[in-house]
Amino acid sequence: MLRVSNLNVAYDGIRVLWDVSLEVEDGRIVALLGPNGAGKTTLLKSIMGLLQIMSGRVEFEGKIISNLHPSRITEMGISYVPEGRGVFPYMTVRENLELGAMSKRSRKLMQGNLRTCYELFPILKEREKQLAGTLSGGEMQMLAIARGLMASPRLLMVDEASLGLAPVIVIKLFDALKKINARGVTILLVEQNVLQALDVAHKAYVLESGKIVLEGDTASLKGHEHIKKAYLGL
Amino acid sequence: MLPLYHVDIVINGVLMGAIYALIAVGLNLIYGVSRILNLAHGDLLMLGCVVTYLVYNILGQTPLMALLVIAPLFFLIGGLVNISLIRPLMKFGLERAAVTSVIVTLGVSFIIVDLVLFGSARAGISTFGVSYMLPSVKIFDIYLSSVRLLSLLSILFITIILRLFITRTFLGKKIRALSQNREAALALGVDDSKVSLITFGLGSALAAIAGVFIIMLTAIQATIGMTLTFKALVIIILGGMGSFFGAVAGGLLLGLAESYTMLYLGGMWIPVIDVIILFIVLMSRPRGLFGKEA
Repeated sequence: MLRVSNLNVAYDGIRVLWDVSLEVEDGRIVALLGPNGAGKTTLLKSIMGLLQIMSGRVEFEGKIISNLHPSRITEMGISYVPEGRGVFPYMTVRENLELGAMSKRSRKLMQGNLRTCYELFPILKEREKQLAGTLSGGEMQMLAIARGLMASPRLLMVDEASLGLAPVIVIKLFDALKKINARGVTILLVEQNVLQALDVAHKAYVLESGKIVLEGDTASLKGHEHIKKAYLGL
Repeated sequence: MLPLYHVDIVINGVLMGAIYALIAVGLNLIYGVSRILNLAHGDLLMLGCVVTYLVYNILGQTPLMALLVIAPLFFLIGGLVNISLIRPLMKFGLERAAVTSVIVTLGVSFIIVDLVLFGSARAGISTFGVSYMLPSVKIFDIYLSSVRLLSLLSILFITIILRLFITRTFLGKKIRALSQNREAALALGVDDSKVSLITFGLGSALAAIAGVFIIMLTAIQATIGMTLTFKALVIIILGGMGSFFGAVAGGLLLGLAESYTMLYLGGMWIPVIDVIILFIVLMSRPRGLFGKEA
């Protein structure tokens, strides 16, 4: 579904990604792991068209989407849930969700998608008229994910959903991601919370200093020496 | 009871404040969406005064009729400035564009002022004014200028429409989204160059509309623009960056204060009072009256 080949990206003149290749298969959950500053967010932003790609290629469902405008990429069926719960703090929950439906196609599907979002995250329905800035951290993250779903994406890219959240909330969020996946949405997950991510994902890549150093299905990665030592503290 | 002339002072203050608010709201919109400080904002206002002057003195139409021409005309002018001068800067990234745009819009300001000075010198005009009058209205024994009341009502109407546009329409929501969290808005697929174009047009139209109301109050000179740009900046900072109500509150506060300064101290004290108010507000509320984010 998504294929990234030999991607090279620089940020403010500093090279961040070196020949990164990865593949996300239809219907799966793929995790992208790695320490702070490895380039995980940069990779997502480059896929989304938010950063300029130096060389390499991004293909989505067989079409090359490298360096397209983000609005085109959303229309094609990719949603990006930014890190740090990038909600619009002075707009209501409902308005935030409406802004998720940017393309003509998703605006037509808005009512149905709203219902789906409220089913997944009932708390958002309760807080519908509240300003997004007044939500708790967990609720903001739910809102950010729900807003991503409003575009009816086929691929949802979630950046550090668990950052700074209580473990109970993290479990809830990962549950929700599983449900979203079960509804047929492919998910690319960037995470520092390695244990949880390996539990929920089918396959994972490990990015360190801008290079993919490990890849494989999660079952085998859990037993891998490098993962155990560097990420699980075993 | 307070002497009756206070009614007049307050009405003048509120009207001036409402005009300031129009100027500031436009500048604030543009800044919010594209992080660009349009230093030619006040000069577009001055140009709006000049067009009103021409419409009134040459075509013989009322200033309020001029509004109908000025709003769309300056929307176009603002849009043109955006496409031809601002959009090329955006290629260098938002931060660098924010700095270079100061130079570019300063250049636009100089060009507008010099063209008007050049044109008016040839025509032998040094100040622009319209002598538009309507019969006064009498309310509770007080005679009030109907031009001022009409201006006040028109500005109120324009502000309400603008507020509805920003809060209720999808385009308005995109404008707010871009100013509250630009990156998230882009990630959702907001077409920032289109929204920036429209906000530039809208902000310029608001500046020129403010010009129509100013020239009905007082005659102006071609060099008035920069003073008003800075006044709008003070108001935005006073009210809180990016806040609609902040710009309105800041405008009213300054307008009223200036009106009373004029009465008790004299016009030359106005800039001093402006700075003192700014100082006091920022000491107690560093983000302005309605300031939100850092």
